[in-house]
Amino acid sequence: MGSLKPTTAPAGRYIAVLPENDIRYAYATGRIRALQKGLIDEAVVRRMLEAPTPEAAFSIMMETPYAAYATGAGISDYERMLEAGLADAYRLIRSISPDGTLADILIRRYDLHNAKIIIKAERMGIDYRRLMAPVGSIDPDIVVRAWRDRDWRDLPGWLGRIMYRAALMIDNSGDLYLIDLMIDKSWFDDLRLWSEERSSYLRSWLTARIDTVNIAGMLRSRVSGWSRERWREVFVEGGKVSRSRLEGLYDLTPEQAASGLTGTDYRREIEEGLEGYREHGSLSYMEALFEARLLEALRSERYVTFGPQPLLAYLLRKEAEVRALRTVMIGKLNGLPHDTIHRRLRGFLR
Amino acid sequence: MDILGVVFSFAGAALAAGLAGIGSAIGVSIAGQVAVGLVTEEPEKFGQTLILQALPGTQGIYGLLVAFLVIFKIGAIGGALQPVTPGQGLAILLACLPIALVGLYSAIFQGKAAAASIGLIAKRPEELGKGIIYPAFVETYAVLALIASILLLQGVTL
Repeated sequence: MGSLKPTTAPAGRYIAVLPENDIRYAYATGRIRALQKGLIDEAVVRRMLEAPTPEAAFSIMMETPYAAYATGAGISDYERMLEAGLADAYRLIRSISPDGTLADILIRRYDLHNAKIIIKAERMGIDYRRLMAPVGSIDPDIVVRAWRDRDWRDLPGWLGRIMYRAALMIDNSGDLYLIDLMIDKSWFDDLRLWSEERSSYLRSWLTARIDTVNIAGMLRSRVSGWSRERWREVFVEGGKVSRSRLEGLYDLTPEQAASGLTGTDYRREIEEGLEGYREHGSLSYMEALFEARLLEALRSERYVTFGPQPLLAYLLRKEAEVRALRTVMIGKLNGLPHDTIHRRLRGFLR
Repeated sequence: MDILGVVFSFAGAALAAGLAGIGSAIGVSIAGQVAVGLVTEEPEKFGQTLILQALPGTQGIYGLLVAFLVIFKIGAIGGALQPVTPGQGLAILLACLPIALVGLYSAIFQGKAAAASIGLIAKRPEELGKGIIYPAFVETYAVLALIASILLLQGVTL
């Protein structure tokens, strides 16, 4: 369809949407537009938050599309329902996307989570099964066998390479934390390479994600009193806020360091988050604000008539929704104060 | 009879029907694919999406109309072919170009606008009227091109 030149969509508030209309995604986009109505809105989460008991919150959750996954086990079913809903969303995107790698690249995060659990489980002698993410694309038993035998032939190449590196690290240092970091960073690297080739929309979102992870990571490591060397291991490449800029602030107090970052694109979140830190001594409010920012950035997909953006935004929005519902249910079940849960939901509730 | 004039005339008719038809096929296909995606989830929206999908189809009709005018003008139907000089034939060919070219591109862009309107219908089915108006504006330029082609054809006397 050479004559169909992509049209330029208006820039979103935070993400410049480059021309990415792609006729191959016409069917998938139409379907996603219908499914977007099934996403949970703020009102539902607010109602759950205001519910007096966990049971009342759960009954509101049963009014949402997640009720389709209920088995009748009651409130203890909530986590499984959320996982099933998310797994279904991934299955759907994979089935309707003309470019199957779109869902695959996002789903890798869950495969990597499973890989981390399997490595830790072997070391600590615990049962890995109940800790597995339900969304992964690779059978955990295959990963377990590969890890046990140190034989990567049954794994996809990308996972085989990561497991091989993890095995070397186990033999050398045995530091599980460093292995966790290596695996987490590999997902960012994969996503960055994929998005650089195919989607400026995802690349812009990823840049913002990496920046917020790095800023929050630096501030957290300062609060925790980590050494500069340890923090360097945490830093993820690929954001707009450079390593040297963050490193230059590392010797300051967390508050001074945060103030030094107000010249970045994240000024509003940092300033507001700093107030939360002064008030509660926790950075979780700032992290929630960063999440809100990332969700806001996804909204520019509405200017795209057809393309991968609506599919990506749907999946990422679905993940945020699952996190929000889980936060409410965990908070309610553990008797956390309303304000504490609300603060943690700041990423979802604008 | 100068065959070159007839060839030019036939080329004009073929371009009008062909290019405008191609544009409509692409435009209807674009809107149709988005519509099928929506109807997969919400079959009750078939009627609403069908209207939007049909909008880019008119350019093909306009092109065919101009092609018929050319065919009747030179008497290509019924065996009474009129003598057409190369100059007259070329004039007929040029008269066909507005609907051929504008039909091609406007149908594609109208298909995109219709696809966006289907996205609107997905979320706000009560806004079908607005959803029709936006792509309908694209139609304006196809209609103007049709009028231009008809007027130009009228100006060619055989």
